[in-house]
Amino acid sequence: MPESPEESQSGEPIAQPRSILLVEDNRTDVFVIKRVLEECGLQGQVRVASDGQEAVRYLQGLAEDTTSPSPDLVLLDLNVPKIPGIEVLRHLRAGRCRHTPVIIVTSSVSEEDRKATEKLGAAAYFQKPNDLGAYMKLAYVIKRILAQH
Amino acid sequence: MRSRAGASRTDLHRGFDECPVTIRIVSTATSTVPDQRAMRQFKTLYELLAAFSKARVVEEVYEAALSALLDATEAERAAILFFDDDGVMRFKAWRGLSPEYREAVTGHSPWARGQMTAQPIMAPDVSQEQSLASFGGVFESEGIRALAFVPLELDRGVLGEFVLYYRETHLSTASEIEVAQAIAAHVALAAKQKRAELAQARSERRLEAMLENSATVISLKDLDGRYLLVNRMWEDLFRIAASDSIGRTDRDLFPPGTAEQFRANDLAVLAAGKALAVQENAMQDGGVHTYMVVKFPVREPDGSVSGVFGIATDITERKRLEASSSYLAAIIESSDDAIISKDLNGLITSWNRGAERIFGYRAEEVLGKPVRILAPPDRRDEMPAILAKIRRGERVEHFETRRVRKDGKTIDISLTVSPIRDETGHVIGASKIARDITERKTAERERAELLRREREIRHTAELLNQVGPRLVAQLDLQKLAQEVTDLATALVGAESGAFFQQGTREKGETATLRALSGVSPNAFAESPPELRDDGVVRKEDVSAELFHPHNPIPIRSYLSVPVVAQSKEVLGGLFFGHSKPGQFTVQHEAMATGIAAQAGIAMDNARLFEQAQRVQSELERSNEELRRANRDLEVFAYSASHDLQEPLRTVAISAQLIERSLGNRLQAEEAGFLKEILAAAKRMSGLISDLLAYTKATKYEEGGPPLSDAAQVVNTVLENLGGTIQETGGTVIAGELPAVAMHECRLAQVFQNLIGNALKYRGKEVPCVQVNAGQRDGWIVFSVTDNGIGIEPQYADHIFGLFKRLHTRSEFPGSGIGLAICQRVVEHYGGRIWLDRSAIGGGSTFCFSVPAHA
Repeated sequence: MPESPEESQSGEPIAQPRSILLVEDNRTDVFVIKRVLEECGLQGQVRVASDGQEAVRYLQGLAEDTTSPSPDLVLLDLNVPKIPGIEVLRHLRAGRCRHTPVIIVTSSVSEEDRKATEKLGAAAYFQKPNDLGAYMKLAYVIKRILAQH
Repeated sequence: MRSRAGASRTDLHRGFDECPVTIRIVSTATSTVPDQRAMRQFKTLYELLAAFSKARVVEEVYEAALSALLDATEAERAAILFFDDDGVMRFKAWRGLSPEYREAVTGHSPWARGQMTAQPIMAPDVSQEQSLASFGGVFESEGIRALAFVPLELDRGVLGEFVLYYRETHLSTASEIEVAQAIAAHVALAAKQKRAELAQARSERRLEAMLENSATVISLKDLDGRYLLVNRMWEDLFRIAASDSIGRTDRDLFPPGTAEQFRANDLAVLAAGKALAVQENAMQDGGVHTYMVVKFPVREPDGSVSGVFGIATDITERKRLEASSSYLAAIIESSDDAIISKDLNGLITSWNRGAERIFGYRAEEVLGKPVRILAPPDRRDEMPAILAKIRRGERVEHFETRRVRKDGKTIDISLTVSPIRDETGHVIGASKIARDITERKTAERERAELLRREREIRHTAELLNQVGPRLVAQLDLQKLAQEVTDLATALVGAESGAFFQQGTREKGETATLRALSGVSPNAFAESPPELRDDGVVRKEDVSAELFHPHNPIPIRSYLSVPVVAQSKEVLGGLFFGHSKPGQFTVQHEAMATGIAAQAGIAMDNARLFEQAQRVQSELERSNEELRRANRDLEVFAYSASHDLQEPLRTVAISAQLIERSLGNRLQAEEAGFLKEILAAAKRMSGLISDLLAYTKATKYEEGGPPLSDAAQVVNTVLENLGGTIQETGGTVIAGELPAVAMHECRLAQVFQNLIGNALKYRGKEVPCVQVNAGQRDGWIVFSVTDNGIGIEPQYADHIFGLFKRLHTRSEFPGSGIGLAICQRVVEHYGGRIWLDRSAIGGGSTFCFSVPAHA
C-alpha cells in the first residue's frame, strides 16, 4: 500500500547508506528521485540502472565480486525495459541483497503487482503521482524504511 | 217337502175298494145260519184289514197276514214268499220255520213269476208228491207232512205265495183255501201299495233332499204364476221365506221390472211347451246377479200343463270370468310377446298372435305339437329342465336363450314360464311368455365386439406408451433407427423389416437405408421402396407387384408406414414383409402406425438433440471467444491506458520541475504556458481514465445472474462521493430502492455518474439530489432529480454522446464521457436512459430503466 507521508517519521537523523541502487528508465523520474534522496539527506552513492538487464548484470557482478559493497537500499520501478522489474526483484532476493530493503516506485496501479512485490519481500510500494509535491513525499517512505533497518 | 195341506197318501181304503178278488163268502153248507167257521173267517178278515190299515211298514202287513192264516186255517205253520228282482222265490215272513229248512227250499216255486190265473196247489202228503221228492229229507227233519200253496197275484200275474204247513197229512178244505186266497189278495194289494208308497216316499225323499241340497235355485209355479214350491236356495237368495212365497206371484214379491222379466219367461216356456234356457237378473246385496235359468212346463199324467218348473244357476261369477277371460284373451292376443301354454307333456295348448309373429308358425300348425320343435338342437335340454321346475310349482323368470323360427332363423328370446294350476292347486301345465330380444342381443354382441376391439387398441396403445419413452431416450439417430426397426419388426411379426430415411433435397429424393431387422432382413436391402407420405400401405399379397423381381426371399405380405416429424415432414418409412400372404392385420397396421408415431417423435427429439448439441458447442466457442476478447480488451485497455498515462506523467512532472526551478524568473505569460501544459496533461490523463472506464463499460460481464440491491449500491456510491457531498454541502435523499437484475459495479457506475453530475452541475443553491424508483411493466425506473442548472430541451439527446459537453472546462470539469458510459451500461441490460425533465435554472431529472429482479 502506498505510504502516506503522515505515517512515516520525519526530522530524525537517519542511518547513512553507502550505496543506493535505483532501477528506473524514465529520466524525469530519475531526476525527481535523486532530488528526493537529497531532500532525505542521503549522500551515498546512487547507482542508476536504466533497464532491467543492466540491473541484473550489476547484481551478477556483485555476486561474483563479493568484496564490492552491495547497496543498502534499492528503489525499483517495475516498468523497466528488457528485464521487467519483478524479475530484478527476484534476483535481488536471490543474491547478496536478499536482506536489502527494496522500495517499489512505480506508476502501476495493479493490485497483482503490489501483491507480487509484497510476496517477494518488498519493503514498500510507492505509486508515482502526477503531482510533484506528492512525489516528494517519497522521502518519508524512504526515511521510514531506513529507520526500520 | 212341503206340500198342499190335507192330502194324505196312505189310503188303504182305496185299495180295498179296488181289490180285484171278490171275497166269496164260502157257503158249501146250505145252512142260512152263518157258520161258526164262517163267522170266524169274517172276524179274521176284518181284523186283518184293520191291522193292514194300521200297518206302517209292509212287514207288519205280512205278520198280520200270517196271524190271520194260522187263525183261519188248521195249519200250524205258515210262510209268505215273494219273487225277488231276479225271479227267485224267497221267504218274506214265516212262523215256525228253521233257517236250515228255509235255506233248503228257497227258490222253489210251483209257479213262474208273472204266471197268470194260478190256482192253489195242495200236497196232502208230501211223501206222495213226485214234484217234491227232492225235498223229502228236508220235510222229514222239519216235521212237515202236508203243504198247501196259495198264489199271491195282482194284475201282472204271480208275485209270490202263501205256504201252509201241516204236521199231519191233511187235505185243505175249500174254505181254508178261500180264506187263504182272500188274505192273499189283500196281502198282494197291500204289499203292492206299501211298496208303491215306499217307493214314492223314497223318491219323494230323494227329490226333497235333492231340492234342498241343490246349489241351484228351484221354484215351481202354477199357470197363474203363483209359487207352489221353492227350495232353500231360493229362500236364501231372495230372503223370502217359503211360507211367504207359496201362493204368491212374482208381482207380489219382486219389483215390477224383475217380476215382469220372470213372468215373461214363464209365459214363453208355456207358449213353447218345452224347456227353455234364459238369463234372468236379480238384485242382491252386492249388486246385480245374473242367473242361467232352465224353465220347463210341468205336465200332469194326462198331459196337461199345470205349471212351470225353474232351475236357476248363478252365473254372475261365470259371466265375470267370461268377461275377464275374454278380456284376458284380448290381452293375450294383442300382446307383442309370444304367449304360449303347454301341458305337462310339453305339448302346445295355446298359441297367441304374438307367438305367430315371433316364431312364424300359425296356431293350427303347432297346437298339440311338442314345444321342443321351437328349440335349436343345442338347446333341447332346456325344455325338460324347465318343465321339471314347473311341475314343482316354480317359476322361470327372464331366462335368456335361443329358439328357432319356422323359417329356420335363430332368434334370441327372454323366457318367463309360470305354472298353470287347476282349482285344486295342482299344476296342470305351463304358461310361457317369450320376448324377442334378438335386437338387444345383437346390439350387445356388437358392443362386446367393439369393447374387445377397443381393449385391443388400448393394449396396443399401452404397449406403445411403454415403448415410446425408451425410444425417446435414445438420442443417437442411428441407434434409434435400429431400435425402432427391431422393435417394430418384432411387434408386427414380420420376417423382414427396414427403415429408410428420406434423403435431403440436396442429395435428391432417394431414400437411404438406415436399419434392417427381422429373420430375413435383406428382403428390403436390395431395392429401396418409394417413400410416400400419403400414408400406410398394407397388402395381403404383393407377389404380383414385387418391386424387386430378383429378390431371393419373396415378400408376399407387405406393410409400410411413414415416419413423420411433428412438422409433418416425412423423415422416412418403416417397411415390413412376410413370405406368407395375409399376415398383417388391421391390428398390426395400428401397431406399426403407433410405433411410427413414437419413432417420429423420438427422431424429432434426436434431431433436436443434435441441433442443441451443435448450438451448445457453438455457444461454448463463442463464449470462449468472448472471454478471450474480454481478456484481450482488459489487457489492452490496461496497457493502453498505462502506456498513455506514462508520458503524461512525465509531462506533468517535468512541467512542475521547470516551474519549481524557474519559479519567479518566469514571466506571467510563460508561467501561464506552463500552467497550460500542466492543465492539458491533467485533462488528457482524465480523458484516458474515462476512456478506460468507457471500454470497461462494454466489457461482457461474467459471473452469476446479475443482481443488485439498488439501495446498497447507492449507499456505496454516496460514500465514494462523500468528499464532494461534504464540499458542496449538498444532500442526497434516496427513496425505497428495490433489487434489480444488474451487476453491482455497473449499477454503481451509472449512479456514480448521475449523482456526481447532479452535484457537479449545481446552481447557486446548495445541491439537493433525490433518488427514487418506481415499477413499470416489469422494469424498474430510477430517477435522479437535482436542483441544478438544468439543460435546454434541444440537447436532451446530445448530452449522451461521447465526449459531448454543454459547458467549457472552466465552467464545469469533465470529459463528456460520463453519460455515454451510463447509456452504454443501461442499454447493455436492455434498458433506456433519458433526460426526463429539465428547465434552465430549474434542475433536471434523469431516468433510467432496468429489468426488475428476476
